Amino acid sequence: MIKTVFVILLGTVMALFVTAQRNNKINLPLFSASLPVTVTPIDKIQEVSVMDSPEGSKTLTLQKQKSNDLTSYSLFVSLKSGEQKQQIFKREGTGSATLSIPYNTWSPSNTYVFLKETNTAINDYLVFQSSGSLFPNNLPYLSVQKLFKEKVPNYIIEDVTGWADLSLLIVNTKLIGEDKKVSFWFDIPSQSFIPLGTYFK
Amino acid sequence: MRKKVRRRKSNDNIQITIVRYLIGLITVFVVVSFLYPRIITKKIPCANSISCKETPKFEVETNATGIYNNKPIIVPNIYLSQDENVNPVLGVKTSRGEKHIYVNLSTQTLSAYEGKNLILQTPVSTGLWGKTPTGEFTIWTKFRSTRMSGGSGADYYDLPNIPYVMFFYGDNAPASSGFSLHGTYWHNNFGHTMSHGCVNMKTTDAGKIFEWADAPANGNKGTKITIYGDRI
Repeated sequence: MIKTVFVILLGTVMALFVTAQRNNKINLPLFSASLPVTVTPIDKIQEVSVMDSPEGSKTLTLQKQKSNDLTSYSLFVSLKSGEQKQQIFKREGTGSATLSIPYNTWSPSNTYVFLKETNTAINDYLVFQSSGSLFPNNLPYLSVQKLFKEKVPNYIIEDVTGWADLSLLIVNTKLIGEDKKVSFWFDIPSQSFIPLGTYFK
Repeated sequence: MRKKVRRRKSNDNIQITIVRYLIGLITVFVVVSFLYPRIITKKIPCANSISCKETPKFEVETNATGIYNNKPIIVPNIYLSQDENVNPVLGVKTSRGEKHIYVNLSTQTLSAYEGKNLILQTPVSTGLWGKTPTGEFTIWTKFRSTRMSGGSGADYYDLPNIPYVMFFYGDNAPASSGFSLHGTYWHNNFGHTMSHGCVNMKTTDAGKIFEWADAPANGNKGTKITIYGDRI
């Protein structure tokens, strides 16, 4: 009799154990299903390029992000002392133009920076105030190509190499249809082009 | 009798000719001695009119104004106390070979080597308005900061607080001609000719080279510099 009761109790305990295990297995998917099923895609930063100012106090950072056909560029200025970086420009688009930081991007007193915009047809050079301030007429940057075309129509820009002084950008050009090469200084405050006798190679 | 007179006349003529030749030679010698230094000076122009007149010296000015391209320019202050916090990036204490700086005028680059190890390579700006000398040189003195002036007319300059100056000399440029490697705060056009003959660098690069390169000490010469290539 005692033996029979023991066997029944043992069987009951085992049945309960197996049931409990089964329930646990059934519960697991339910528990997993409570996790969020939609995953927000995180844009991958594809390229980061940086250039320190000539005396080393500031850093210019250009971040390029690509998501499907959309490419976005963000331009930041930060102090080497560790202050949080300030975004001074952002562009999003589907075009093929690419932005890059030239080696001589910083003006000597760190007031301005310029970027090179490489296009399939003709390159442009964009000048920014490193403080993030806008130029007159609320322009976020000056397009050297656009202004040059307006003001000096007979020449085409071949290269913009760097800064001749605190606010003069060196623009190397060529006379359209001829081999004659002329350098100009692009004076940022007055947005004027000054032709030079010396060609800056 | 007539023969004797003829001989005397002949001897006198020979003596006169010799004297004439001597006078001619002395004249040529005097003229050449007078002109030679001027010809040499013309071949090696003065890169920095201050160091061409007097021995360059260490100078730091506060809130100074300089002149570049004949226009006033605000001169950055130099805080010497901050120099101690700057890590000598190239200042490896254990030597890895002879230090040698190469400046390539064709590519406008400077390469610093210790033995066969490339320590630093960077774009520079060499002579546009004045010619940078080519050849073998050594650093003869270094200054954390000094003043330089030169040029004329539209490209006149007078710049205090020029940082990390390493004057060099050699057969093609005497010490008095004032050529140097140094930092630059008045332009940022490296990789392209832009100087009056000196080798301009970004101030951060000049600082690294300055800490690394040696001035003459204990009977040893300063760090060697080779400048080569065609001016672009």
